Amino acid sequence: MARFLIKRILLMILSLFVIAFLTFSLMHAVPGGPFTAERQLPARVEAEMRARYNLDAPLYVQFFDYIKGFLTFDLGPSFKYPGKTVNDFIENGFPVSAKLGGITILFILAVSIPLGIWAALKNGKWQDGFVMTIATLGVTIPSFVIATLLMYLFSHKLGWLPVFSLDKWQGYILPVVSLGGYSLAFIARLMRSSLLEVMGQDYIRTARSKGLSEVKVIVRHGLRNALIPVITILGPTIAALLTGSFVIEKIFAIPGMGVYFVDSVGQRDYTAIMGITVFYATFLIVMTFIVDIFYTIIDPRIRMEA
Amino acid sequence: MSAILEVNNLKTTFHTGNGAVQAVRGVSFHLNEGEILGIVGESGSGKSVMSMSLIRLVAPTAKIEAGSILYKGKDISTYSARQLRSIRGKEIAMIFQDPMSSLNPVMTVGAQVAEMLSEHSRLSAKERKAQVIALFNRVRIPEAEKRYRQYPHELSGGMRQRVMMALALAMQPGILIADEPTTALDVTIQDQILKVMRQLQSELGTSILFITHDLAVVADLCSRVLVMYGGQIMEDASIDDIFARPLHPYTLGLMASIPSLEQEKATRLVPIPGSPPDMLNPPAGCPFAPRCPEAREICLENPAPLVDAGKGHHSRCWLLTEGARELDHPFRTVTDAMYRNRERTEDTL
Repeated sequence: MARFLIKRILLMILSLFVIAFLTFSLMHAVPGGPFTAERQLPARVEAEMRARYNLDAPLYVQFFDYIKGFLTFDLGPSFKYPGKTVNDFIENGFPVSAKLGGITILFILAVSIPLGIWAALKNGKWQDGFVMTIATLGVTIPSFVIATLLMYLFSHKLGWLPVFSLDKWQGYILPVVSLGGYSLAFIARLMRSSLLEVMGQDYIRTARSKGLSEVKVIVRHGLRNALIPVITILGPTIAALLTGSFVIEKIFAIPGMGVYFVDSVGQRDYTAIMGITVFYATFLIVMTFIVDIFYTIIDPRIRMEA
Repeated sequence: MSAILEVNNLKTTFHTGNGAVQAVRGVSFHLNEGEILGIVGESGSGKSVMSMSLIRLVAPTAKIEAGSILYKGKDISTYSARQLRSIRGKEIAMIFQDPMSSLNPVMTVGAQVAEMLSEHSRLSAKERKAQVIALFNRVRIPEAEKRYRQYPHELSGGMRQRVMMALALAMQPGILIADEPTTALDVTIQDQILKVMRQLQSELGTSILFITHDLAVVADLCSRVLVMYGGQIMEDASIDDIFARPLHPYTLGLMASIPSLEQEKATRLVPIPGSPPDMLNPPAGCPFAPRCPEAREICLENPAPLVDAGKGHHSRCWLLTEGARELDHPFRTVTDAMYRNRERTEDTL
């Protein structure tokens, strides 16, 4: 157990290092830089700027300087917004994205899993067809289309819900539904197919032969086995939702991390790209790790082995 | 001897996209108190479906029509799902073919057996555990305390089948249905499982319905045997009688295909040519007729009657009726029979 944890943590650090290295290399391989603009800066000014941000040093020196800063949780200054640091962006943006993402995750879990179970139990009946049609739509329609449709209907036409405001709880409804639509539909479908498969297993027949009621058969013997694939997908989904979505944040004018991230790429804001990528990667790796630990709890066949 | 189970005219049909598959077609038999009754037949003969139909464990696409299924005199075929649940496990318990997949992989084996006790009795958690450990000892599971906390994947096939036996016997049911319990195990383990089963049967007096395709196991374990083919019972007799005077050509074919330790190296086993009938379109006459070396015209056209051969021995064969032996053979060789059979199926397609 201890050996497993140590090995996993070392591997996580290695993965992060590789991700940081690749992002750094790709970022510098792309033409242009933070000070490239339509109106060329005078050569002397640009040289001054590059020297100030340490951009004239060899790349490997820059990279190791960056790693040094990262280890002390200093992600560096933003190149585009003077006086602001990347830490500021994350500190301001992440809580907003994470709150929206957190609510979305709760919403997804509360709706998709019961929906998937219901569809599986009504396999082949109209309820199943209904849920699966909605879920297929949810998986195929892009989130910005859902968001725009919802805004048009509930804000513009009916006037029930605000468009841009996270001050009141009503303001969360549209972003949460638009943001969670895809994952909700996906998890509902996964839950359904997984439960259907499990309910055809021999041990379900054994459970029935004991004289258990159908509810007990499903809850005690079906669900726990059927949740295993759902948990796999839940890790990356949670990481992605908590760190913010560019599209939804842009549409609903939410000052989260997703917007900063996409903007920083366009502006070659090197430190912001690095900072947010590594932050997201850390999150993803940690979530995957948590999922792996959950596996061993839910499925005794999976062992924590070094 | 009184019958604990009496089944009359049981029919099970699966409604599939391709049509109705008539897996069990009018099976009647009885199981005596404290008896081990063997049901023999090859794959697809309907023996598993028949046994699962008794407590309605077949897939929801199956429709069970039965004259009656009398358990201790009560017709359980008319029971509601709720009433039937009090029969399952408590009165009629089952052991399945594949011990690898018949236990829930994410639950300890102890908890899976204890669940049966909590469902049908009012024991405390502590009493349940003590009883499960006693059951494990009874089916000769070594280190029962340790096994209680283990998961199915930590146990060998033989151990898992013992767990299944402990599970099935937990409530001391009136009937144990064992559906090919040793087929998935190797021969030495098979022998141990049969030994335990026989021991338990003599200790507890449980009546056992033992389903297998292995006549040798039947000879070893059972007191009476039913031979099934094409969803019907072809022959039923006491174990001594069936080996002394097998009457049905199918039973003879099964016996000829058993290898014997004494036989010469050069002697070849005699397989039964052809394959079981397609139950989507079951044959009009005797289901075995197309593969039967002794078949007559009448066998292909008309369902054979169940002929009483005395001493409780019955056989469903035209040849046992007056004057049938003198009728013409419909085909000279078995190859002809198969050829004809193929033509018939092509006609129906």
